[in-house]
Amino acid sequence: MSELIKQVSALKTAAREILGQIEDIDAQRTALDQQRDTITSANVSKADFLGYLRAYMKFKAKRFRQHTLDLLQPQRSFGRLEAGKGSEAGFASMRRFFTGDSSAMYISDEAVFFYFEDVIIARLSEELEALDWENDALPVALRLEHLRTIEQAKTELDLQRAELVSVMREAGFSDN
Amino acid sequence: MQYQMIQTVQHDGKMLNAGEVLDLTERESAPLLASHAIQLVPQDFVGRTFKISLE
Repeated sequence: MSELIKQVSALKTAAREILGQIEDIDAQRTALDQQRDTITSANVSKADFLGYLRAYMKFKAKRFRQHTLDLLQPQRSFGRLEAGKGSEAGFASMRRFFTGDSSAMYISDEAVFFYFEDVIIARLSEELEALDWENDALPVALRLEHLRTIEQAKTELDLQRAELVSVMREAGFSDN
Repeated sequence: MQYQMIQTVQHDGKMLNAGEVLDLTERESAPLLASHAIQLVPQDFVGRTFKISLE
């Protein structure tokens, strides 16, 4: 009888040991999530901020560039240009190198980004000096690297946890 | 923590579809929980209690 009691006790101890390991994994995962939150919520440097703006402008300008080239490509014949010379209507379709694919006559943001990206960045860079920037902010490239490392660690922890849960289930344990 | 989308929403420029399971941090989940867009997916063996089946 005492042997049976010992075996049941050993089983409970083993189960508690596994639950302790699961608890430890959960704590590590929470810590990784906190690291992720710290990285993602911290402001970037002014240079990185401008980098994001420039990337956005390039993204928008790329579409505009292709649209403009497609528009101007068939407009280059001598006859067409001569016929349109001095006539507002003659160049009506070419006005779209300001408006993009909009038929309304306004200058699109894509056109502005395409033609004036450097001017906008330089101007904003001056004005943004009025804001407080963290000079020692972690560079975006490093943040992305840290986030990748965190995600890898989380995936590994999830696998370890799933394995421990599987051991518990196979031994007949459940949590409900 | 794992969360399941209850409704389809646009969040941080991404479309998140109902039924989708996401791994979110506490800060990431807070606004979605507040708007009832997600629910927590319960995890196995949280805490130190357990039951044993003899079958």
